[in-house]
Amino acid sequence: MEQVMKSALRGIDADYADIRVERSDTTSLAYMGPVLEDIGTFMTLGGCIRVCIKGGWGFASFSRIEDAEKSVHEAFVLAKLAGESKTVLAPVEPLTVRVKNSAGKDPADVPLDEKLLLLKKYNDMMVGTNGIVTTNSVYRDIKKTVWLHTSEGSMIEQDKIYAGVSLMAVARDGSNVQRGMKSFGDQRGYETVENREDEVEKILKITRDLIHAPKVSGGVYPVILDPQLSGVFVHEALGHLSEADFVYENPQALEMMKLGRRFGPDMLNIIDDGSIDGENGRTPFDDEGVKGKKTYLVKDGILKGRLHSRETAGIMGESPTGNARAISASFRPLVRMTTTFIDRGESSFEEMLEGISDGIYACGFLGGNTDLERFTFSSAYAYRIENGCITTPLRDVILSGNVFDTLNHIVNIGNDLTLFGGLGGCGKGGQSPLPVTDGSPHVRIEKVLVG
Amino acid sequence: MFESKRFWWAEMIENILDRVKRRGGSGEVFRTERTSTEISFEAGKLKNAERKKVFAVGLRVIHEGRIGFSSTTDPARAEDLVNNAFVSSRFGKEVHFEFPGTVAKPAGAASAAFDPAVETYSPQQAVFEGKRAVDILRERCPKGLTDLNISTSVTSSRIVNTSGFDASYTTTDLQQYITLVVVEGDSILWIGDGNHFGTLDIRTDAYINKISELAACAEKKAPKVSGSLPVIFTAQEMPNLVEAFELGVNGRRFVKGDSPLVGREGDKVLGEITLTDDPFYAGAPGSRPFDDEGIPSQRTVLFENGVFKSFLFNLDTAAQAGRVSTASAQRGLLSAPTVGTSNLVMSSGKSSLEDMMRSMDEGVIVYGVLGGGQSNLLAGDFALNIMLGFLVKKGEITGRLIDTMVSGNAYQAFGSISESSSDIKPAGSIFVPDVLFPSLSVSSR
Repeated sequence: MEQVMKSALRGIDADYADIRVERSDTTSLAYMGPVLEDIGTFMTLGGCIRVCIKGGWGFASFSRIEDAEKSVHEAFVLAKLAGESKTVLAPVEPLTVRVKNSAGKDPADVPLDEKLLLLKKYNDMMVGTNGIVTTNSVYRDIKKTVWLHTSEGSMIEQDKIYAGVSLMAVARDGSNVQRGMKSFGDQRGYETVENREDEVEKILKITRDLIHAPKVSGGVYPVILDPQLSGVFVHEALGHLSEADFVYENPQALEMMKLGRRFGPDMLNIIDDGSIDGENGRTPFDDEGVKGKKTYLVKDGILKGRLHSRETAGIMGESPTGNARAISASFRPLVRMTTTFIDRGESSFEEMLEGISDGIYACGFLGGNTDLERFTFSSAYAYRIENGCITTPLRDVILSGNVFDTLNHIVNIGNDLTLFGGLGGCGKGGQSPLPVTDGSPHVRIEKVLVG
Repeated sequence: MFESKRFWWAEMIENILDRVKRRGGSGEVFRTERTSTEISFEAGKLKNAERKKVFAVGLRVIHEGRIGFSSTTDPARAEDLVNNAFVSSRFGKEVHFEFPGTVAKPAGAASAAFDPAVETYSPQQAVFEGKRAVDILRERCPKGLTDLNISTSVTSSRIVNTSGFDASYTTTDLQQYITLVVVEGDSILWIGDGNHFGTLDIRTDAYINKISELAACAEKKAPKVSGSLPVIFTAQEMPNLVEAFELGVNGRRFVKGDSPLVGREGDKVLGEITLTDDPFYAGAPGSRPFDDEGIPSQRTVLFENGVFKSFLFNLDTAAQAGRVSTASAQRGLLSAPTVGTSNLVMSSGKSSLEDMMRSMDEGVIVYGVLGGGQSNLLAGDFALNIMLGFLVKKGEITGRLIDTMVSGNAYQAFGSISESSSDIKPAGSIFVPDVLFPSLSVSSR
């Protein structure tokens, strides 16, 4: 592989070029209700060439390795078309490195029938429960190798193994349909999906609670977010704003995201860290060959850094952070998050509940979206807080608000940091799902619009 | 070179199906070959030009009554493909259908959108068009910066099975999207327009005219609103609501019993609207001669004057439900077929956008939303953050709504539509009018 890649780029007359090849094997299983709806394997091989000339990028992808040289020519012609200024890429040291996966048990060594039995066990627990009309239980593992060669001389080979399950129970009472769900997935290996019976019990409890739960009555409430929802919140609210491709060519946006600006209380620390082993967002080297690292986005409440590709870092005169990522070798890398979280604080959960006379404890995550100024996300389930105590379940708790106000309204950060991967991921620029990890401790926010 | 490759893939398909037959199974190969180009501008600057080629082969086998699936982009792994499909069939679902044999092409059959002009549209032409748009918007909206992309693709699909079906078609696709980003202080405003066609339908001027008009309207902020108000969803935003019915009519939901439409065929569920799944719509992205299992395309009326008529089925869900396929099998490059819509077409009304605005004493018009697909949409519930919307008083736009949500239930909302525009507008593969809902819940923070 290395030889093919080297010879493809040899002699190219460009400011910069790279070739990336990816080979992956995926196994996927899905139950809907008692029926095994999908069982299949997918094998991909593909690659892409990027060429940069005068600040313009040409990109060509191919699915047969023999087409690599022809694609180099196509990318070169396209880069010439796109280039009309100057190429500025933050410098990185060329490397030759091979990174092994961080998994324990390799799912490829587990027979298919064993994976199936495991998923069936979780699914049967839900199907056999009174009141559950259907389920959706998915298992997936992916084993991939990505090779990257740059015109500057880097040759990086990385192995990754993902394994995960996503479990959902659906209850129906007339036209009232409610779902309870959880998803686990990361790069730790097959162990991640084993011994999850307790979580299935939790899903069933959540679903039972929701089907009888009243709709939340809309309004502005003090809200405690559980670590999963708070993790999504920080991903949506500050994470996307911190992606430098939003600001690097936009002076007004840069002014808004000026380093040194206050973004929350002193206790608030927000970090993106691609170097954390085993996490879904683990990115030892990004798709430009930059080493993943810990980047403080917010430190002690003050905006401290942002996420970069080599181009955004170069143009802004900052250091690259290893955040240029693509979902596969059919796509160009974009500035993306890795493992993004609010760091541990000092409050216990009991302290957070104190003084809330009428509030909401919002947990889990159905979906989230942001236009960078505003965000909307749905909690999977929620409870009312009355006089400092968690009381009745609530459904349809959708939180929305202004990113800047909401971060400033954080009043407590818990001491119970938890990270969440899962089978889903993040979407941007037509590339979804990109594996990421979000996380946080419990967080109390004083005023949130709940719909 | 290209021809020899085609031949080579054809040989591979034969080879795969031979192996399947030798092992005593029946099989179906679905092959996709796609070439696409895209140019993109970021913040008014040309940044990226790309050309992609994708090949993929999916194999379904039925062996001893059970179905298995595997797919690959790697032609060197034809043998693994067959093995994996058979291994998965050992555990796979029992199925009660067979792959369809050759079907005579009916007269007046649907055809895929194919426009040779899309195939020959060059990245140079796209760059020229992009620069023109960026320059005009820079002059008209100096506070904003423009993101723009134009992409084209040519996709050929072929289905071959051991029952004797062998057919293919080629379709073209054009997408053009323009977004103006205006950042002032801590306010971020996105104003976008664009569309997705099967033909070379470049509409740069229409998009930039609309964007600059909306940008002018957005200068002034509206006061907070709260309560039940009349709301116009412009056609472009209607898919956020129509999606509830897409989920509801899905045959998989029928089989699982979790659609609110189960048991309601023949009932009046919505107001006086008709919604049709229409693979015959000329030039539309979802048009095709047959579905992704080789069943000849057909029109399916989903709701007729509000009466729920039919679910959509593929072969598998039809067999489970004791119905027939509505030619609604749909699959991705590497996935097995599920149930999906082709083009969704909603009946039009008698009004115009201007008349509907005039008819509102006080109301809201929505041009952009955030947060689609997060609520319990299967039950019809929606809660959308209005990214770009205006308060309208007696037909006049009085200002842009800030931090405002619109929510409701699609089944209830479509039960009492007051008016809709007489023209149907494309929003990708969904064709809808602008619609005035007499009363939706609107609340500003």
